[in-house]
Amino acid sequence: MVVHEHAINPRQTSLWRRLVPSHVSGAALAIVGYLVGTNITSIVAGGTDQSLTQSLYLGFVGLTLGWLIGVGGIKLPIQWVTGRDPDEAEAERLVYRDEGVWRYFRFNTDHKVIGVQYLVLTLFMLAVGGLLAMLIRANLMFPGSRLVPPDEYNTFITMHGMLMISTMFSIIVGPFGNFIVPIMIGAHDMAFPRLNAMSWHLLAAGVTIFLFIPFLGSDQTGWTTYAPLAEQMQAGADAFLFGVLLIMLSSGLGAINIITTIITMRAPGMRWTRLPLFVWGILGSTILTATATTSVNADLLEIMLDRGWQTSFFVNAFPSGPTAAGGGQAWLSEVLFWFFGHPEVYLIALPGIGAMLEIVPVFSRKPVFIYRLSVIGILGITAISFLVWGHHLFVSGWEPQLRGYYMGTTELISIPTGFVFLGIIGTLWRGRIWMTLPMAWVFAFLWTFVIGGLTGIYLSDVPADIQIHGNYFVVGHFHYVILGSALWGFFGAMYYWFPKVTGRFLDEKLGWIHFWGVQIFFNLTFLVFFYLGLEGLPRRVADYAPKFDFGMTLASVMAFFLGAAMLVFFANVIYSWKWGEVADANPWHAKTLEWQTPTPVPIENFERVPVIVSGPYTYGEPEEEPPAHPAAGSAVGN
Amino acid sequence: MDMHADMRATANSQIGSYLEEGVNVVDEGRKLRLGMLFYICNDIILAIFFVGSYIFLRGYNTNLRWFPPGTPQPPFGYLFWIMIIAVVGAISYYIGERALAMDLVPIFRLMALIALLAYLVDLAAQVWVLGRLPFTVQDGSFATSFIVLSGYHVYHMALGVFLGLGIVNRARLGKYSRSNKDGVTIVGYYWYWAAAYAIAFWLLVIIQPPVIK
Amino acid sequence: MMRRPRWSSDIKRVVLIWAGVSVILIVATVIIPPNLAGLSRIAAPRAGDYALTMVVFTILSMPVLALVMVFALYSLYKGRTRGRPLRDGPPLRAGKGVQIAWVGISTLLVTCLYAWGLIFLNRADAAPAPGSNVLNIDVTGEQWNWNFTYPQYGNAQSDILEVPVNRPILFKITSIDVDHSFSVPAWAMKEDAVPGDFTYIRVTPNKMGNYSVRCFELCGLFHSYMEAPVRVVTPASFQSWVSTQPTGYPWGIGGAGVPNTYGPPSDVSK
Repeated sequence: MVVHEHAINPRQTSLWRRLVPSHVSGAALAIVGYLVGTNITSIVAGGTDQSLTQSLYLGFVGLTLGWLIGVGGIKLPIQWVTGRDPDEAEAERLVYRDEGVWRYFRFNTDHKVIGVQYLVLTLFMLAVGGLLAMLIRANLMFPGSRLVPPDEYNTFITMHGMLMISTMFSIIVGPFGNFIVPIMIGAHDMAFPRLNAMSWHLLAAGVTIFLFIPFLGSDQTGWTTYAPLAEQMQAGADAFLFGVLLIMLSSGLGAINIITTIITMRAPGMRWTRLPLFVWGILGSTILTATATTSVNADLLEIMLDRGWQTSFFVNAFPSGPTAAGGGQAWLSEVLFWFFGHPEVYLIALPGIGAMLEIVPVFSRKPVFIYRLSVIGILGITAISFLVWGHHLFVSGWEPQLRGYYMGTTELISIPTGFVFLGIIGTLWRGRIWMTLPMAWVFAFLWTFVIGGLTGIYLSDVPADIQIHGNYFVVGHFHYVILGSALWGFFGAMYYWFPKVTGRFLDEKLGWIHFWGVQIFFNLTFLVFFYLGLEGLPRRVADYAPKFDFGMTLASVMAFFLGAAMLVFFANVIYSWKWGEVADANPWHAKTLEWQTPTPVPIENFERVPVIVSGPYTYGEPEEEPPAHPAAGSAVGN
Repeated sequence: MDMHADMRATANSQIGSYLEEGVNVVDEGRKLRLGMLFYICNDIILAIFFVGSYIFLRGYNTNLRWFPPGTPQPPFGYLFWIMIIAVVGAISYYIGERALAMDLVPIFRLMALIALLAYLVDLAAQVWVLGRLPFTVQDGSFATSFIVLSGYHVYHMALGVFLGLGIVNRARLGKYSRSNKDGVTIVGYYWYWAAAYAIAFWLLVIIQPPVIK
Repeated sequence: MMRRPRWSSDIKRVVLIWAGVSVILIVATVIIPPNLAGLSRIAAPRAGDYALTMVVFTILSMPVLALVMVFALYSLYKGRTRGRPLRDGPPLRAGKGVQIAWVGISTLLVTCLYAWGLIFLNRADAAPAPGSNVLNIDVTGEQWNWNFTYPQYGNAQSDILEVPVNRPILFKITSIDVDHSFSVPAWAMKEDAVPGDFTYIRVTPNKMGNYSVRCFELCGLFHSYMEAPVRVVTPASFQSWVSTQPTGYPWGIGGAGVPNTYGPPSDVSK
């Protein structure tokens, strides 16, 4: 695309032009839409026998539509139908290049802006999820004392679980999948920029609706939202179901976008064997997202139908209660959920794994020890993750004869996971190790993810799982694997790519305080969970027997310190974004494409399309001629 | 700061050279087709889960309430005609696509209009029948899954009609030709899938009828 | 530049450190604590199998943990530079041998674990010899308590699970509202209670004493409190206890108006 030199948009000083269309107008119309939706049946039908659930769903639909119309996202499909296609000037305008900070508050199609929008939104989600964790641990500090009634406590754990899962979904793919991956493959943007913006705005709407939960009543099902328990819940469950549905739709659309981008928009010479491992990790994750989220969408829709319209997917006649005739089956909810739920945790882990494999060669100054086997590992995890979900159903009583098969596949998936470890350790071996903050998180990943993975082996053994299913052992296991791969991967990615996204380094001193604080207090909080689980403490309990009190109190106190360490991180991000030490275009002297552009990255990423001649990890290999043309980015006087 | 010296010191970045300005390496048509195919895969898998729910619930027949005795059977004849109309629409659109590939634009426009009308009739018929079923969603798990599967067909038809309005209107404005038919192709993919779903739904009720012998 | 002897001795050193760390970890986690977190509370053969599995898996896991951390930290110790390295490291990529060995050994380990799991799963599920005096107990979970019915004793009902020692038991479990999970941790036994269907699990308690049933599936407001006492007593004591229990409807679902339409019972010898 030819770069226009003159401003497309003369700086708009009119307040109306600033606010419309933008997030402000979107929020206003969202409120209007919600009010219309919740009241529409009484406006239209004049009747009052619509249940609260149905009017809430209509309200949420209204909220989402109002939001999308208000930010200007609906205009484009309508333009397609009427045949008035946006011309090049219009497409340029959607990038709002001349608007400074305000362009982040619009329906902006530039993948770099969307990446920053995702970063802010996912950090917000992380903060809220972390706050919920602090509330949970405060409640569990002492046996017998409860800060809140059990139904509110159960709501906390439900919200914490699903919000954190949604955060981990998007926290690497959203910011770095959007900002970095197109540059890494030599593309000028994503395959479908408008769909990309739509994904972010759907996520924002979904998270907003999700946060309605505590205001609408309790939701006590846990993040797994099993029916028929979900159908007994108050209106908070409706906010949960609809919000999560939007979040899943957002991720599914985004995944389609990323997969198409990686397949069709690689620069000439960027063969599959020259693709950076971070892109492979994102690809595996998005393949899982595009396919597995459909299962939970079906589950959520079916629960919503059961709640709002008395269908019988999961209900088979309470002794007294709903008017549904029955015939439903509770296992259907578990099956649908876990067919999504297992690929889901791998789609959370893979971007983090990709980020770790990306960082290690840069700071060991060595090629990745096993490129091909690492790719096979990532793709193997992707494929096998569809075959293992039955291990969540070992004690459910569903088709017990299948348990042996699922035990086999679950233990099988540890083999490709092992390739990742060989890749990292082999790259470290005999490397010249530059101990920066991104590299520190790689070592944290090794420790945390291996413990998480090994405890997963215990859980995959059916006779052992019969004992430790549903207790604190499982809680310890999944916190180790999820935080180890997704959250430590995010921190590594943050410290690594922050200089490219913002042009500044994250502060080193605060960074090391954050690193050691999190490592020490995370382990002190969660290692004790394994002990508690083996002692027999069930999970998701608001209260517990006095014999567990030492472990629980210790975990709670350490968790508060962990929260404090996380506050240091948030403070670091806020401070460094504005006042951090300025970084040059390639501070880590890495070889992948994103580091060959100037900072800040120009709108088109590359002024001319790069031609790729080698893989990304040619450290230590004999030097070749310098490039025939100087890197276009550095030639521009930045 | 001498970035060039730095970069030469640890050379071998991936970039070897640059293409001349203006050369677009992205095949837009392939990009659109792949994107639509992935979306349809996503839709297919969701349909599989709804169909799977039907089969699962029928298999378990919990409390013998899958098809409670005394429940009237739906008129299955209509399901056959709904399927036929959708297939007719898909076939006429396919003919239109072939015509466009041979640059016979008026024939394409006619066929696209016929397809749109067929899908519109199908949508209306499905909604009409849904309103006249002898049972409601509250009448057990068969009624539930059957109505939801029909509702999913309504969703396909509604989105299909929206896309069809766009295609017919844009064809009227002369936007499509032999060399510019990516939009036509990808809407075609969606309509073929919608027709396939109608066939699959009809087959499901034949192979796994509500009354369990 | 690359002084081969130095790094070969490094490999020997790393392997030795790895072996040492593995042994220390195994001792620390398996042998030293006399009562490793609940593993000493074994009141049924299946619980003994569970404890053995946990110990064996820990012995196998510790070397893996040690492998990862020792190699990584040793590389850090040996290769760390002050500030940005001015030269790159050696362009090492894994040879065929290392890759085949890694894949082979991990596959072998996984196969052994799988075989172990299958053997113990069959032992846990195994039906007792025909002619054994199996005690059938029907368990009903509801929000938020457990009911027990003894169909072989005229549907005797109880809130307390009292059983004779050394007699095989077959539990038939269901729920009348939402999912629960019926578990006696002392017996390493757990199975969900699902509304509208039955689930089964077997156990043979071999130690007398008092234990507890706990619910392990979040079932709403008072899930944390959904417990029931378990008493394992002599057969004579059990006989006299059960004959004094009130009898009632199957499944303990008392009360008028609740249809018992759970369909024909499945094969209880499963």
